[in-house]
Amino acid sequence: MSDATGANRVLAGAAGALALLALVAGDPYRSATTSDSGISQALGIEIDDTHRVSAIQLAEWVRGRRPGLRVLDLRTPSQYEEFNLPKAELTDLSQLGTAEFDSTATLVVYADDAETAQRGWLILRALGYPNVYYMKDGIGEWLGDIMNPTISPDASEGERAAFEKLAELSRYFGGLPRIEAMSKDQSTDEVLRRTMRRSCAF
Amino acid sequence: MSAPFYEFGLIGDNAGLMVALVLGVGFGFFLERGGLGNALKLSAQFYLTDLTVLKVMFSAIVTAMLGLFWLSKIGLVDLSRVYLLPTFVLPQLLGGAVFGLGFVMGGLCPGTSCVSASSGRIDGLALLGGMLFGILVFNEAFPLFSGFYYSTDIGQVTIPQVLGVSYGVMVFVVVLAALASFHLAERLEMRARRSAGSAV
Amino acid sequence: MTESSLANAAGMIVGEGERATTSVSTRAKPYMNPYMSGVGIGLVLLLAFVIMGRGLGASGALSSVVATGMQAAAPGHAAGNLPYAAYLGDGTQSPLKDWLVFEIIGVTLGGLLSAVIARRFRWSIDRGQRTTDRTRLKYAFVGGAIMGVGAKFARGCTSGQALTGGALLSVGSWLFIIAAFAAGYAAAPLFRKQWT
Repeated sequence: MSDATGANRVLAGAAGALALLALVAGDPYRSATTSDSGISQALGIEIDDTHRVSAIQLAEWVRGRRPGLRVLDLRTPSQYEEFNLPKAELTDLSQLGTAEFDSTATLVVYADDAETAQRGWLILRALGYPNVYYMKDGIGEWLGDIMNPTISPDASEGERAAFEKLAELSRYFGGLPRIEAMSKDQSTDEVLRRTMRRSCAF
Repeated sequence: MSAPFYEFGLIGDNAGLMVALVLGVGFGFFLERGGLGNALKLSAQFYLTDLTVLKVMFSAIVTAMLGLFWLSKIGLVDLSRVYLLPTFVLPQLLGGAVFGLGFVMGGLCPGTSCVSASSGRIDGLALLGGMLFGILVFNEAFPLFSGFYYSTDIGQVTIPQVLGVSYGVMVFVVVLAALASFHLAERLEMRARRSAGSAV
Repeated sequence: MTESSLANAAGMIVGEGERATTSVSTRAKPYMNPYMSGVGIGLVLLLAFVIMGRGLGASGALSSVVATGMQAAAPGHAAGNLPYAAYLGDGTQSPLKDWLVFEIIGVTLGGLLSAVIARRFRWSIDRGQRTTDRTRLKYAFVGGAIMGVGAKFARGCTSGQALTGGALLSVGSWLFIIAAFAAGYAAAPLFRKQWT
């Protein structure tokens, strides 16, 4: 058994060393890049939730034909082809810098992730446009809240009434409101590829 | 940083299925290598005579945990895009307890029962059949406890988040716990071997 | 000392069948160092995280199988009940075209491959000496059924919750691990005759 013990000691040592380093290594999650906070600080612009628009709010703006509304998609062409929000125009961060919009326009940017959307928001605000909003969770939010809104079977009367309103909005965009008691922790890809992976299946 | 590949669109759905197959082969291969396709070995864990289950599982957890932590730290993987299972406190505690009871009774778990069956073990097949039946029963009886099933949903939370410590600290603690339990496991097995040897 | 008690004393060095009534197979190769096999599994799990952004699992695949079966037997019942419907998707493709189903097919193949290479493949029943084949099979079925129920409540089993969720430090997964092992040790005295 001595061979095994030697190998085991090596494994244990490696694990211990990596763990010790992990102790002091800090956060493994990606955080916002420093360049964003630099721009933000220099311009005195702080992004926060008041500049965030929900999918539901955007849906109401689109349906209500809000004047001057421009919806900007910051994802890749193939993603745009696969699915995009109504009225969305495909662009990217570099184009935003040279784009020209009406100064009274309501600009809504969305991307795959919050970071890109926020960066887009920052660029447009830095250029001086006053009415800029971003969607935090991109098409995932739209897919979840508008295209596939769900309500739990044991929701209260008040919740059902509110859901009926949302369901009407959803159907306007061709969505499919459902009564379903599934856990709502689903990423964009999951909702888009429903049969591949489900949050309850392991 | 463009991993997890699937989350960045670098792998399509069909390729993903192939990946599943290949990874499954690796998983099953190493399970059988370690002897986890044998119900006697697995159940011995609960009588403290053979702690292979602990050694294999905890080593696997530590390896994947350390690997993910460091790949994330050096920027090769975006940890926030790795799917974290949501936590349902009470159902998972109850489910765990029920599962443990079935485990010591049947001697195999879902994954290992497949390995056992593919090694020719009829008991593995019987256990697989039992599991399908159990799932069927659960599904049919679901309306009776659907409320409980969805209860205590605290979302996707990690232990470091809940305890308010850093991720790295938790990683360190888990590795320490693993190494300590391995040491204990070796001692228990040595003691079991000695008493088995002397009881002739 | 008889051959089988020698094998007992030597512990893991000899392959399968130490404590079964059948004789020790001297052709079977010894098992791999458990820590190494664990590292191997850990690397496979890590690859799953890196490539797919998800971990491994097993019980979910079985749920897909049950749903498929129910859909074939009673499609209306399957579509109308959430536990089945959750696995049936929108009907455009088979529920068996699922990540976990493919994975578990792989697990079965991988196990077969390893067993054949190590000459451990044998049509047999693993059980303790004090029980019979019949009883063992009954207990396996019932134990499996109980585990099926437990895995549904817990949203996973040892592969999905313990390994995957454990590596991700998910709270619910570690609760599962603790509960499962506590229950296993607590219930162990009830099943001594099965195993020892």
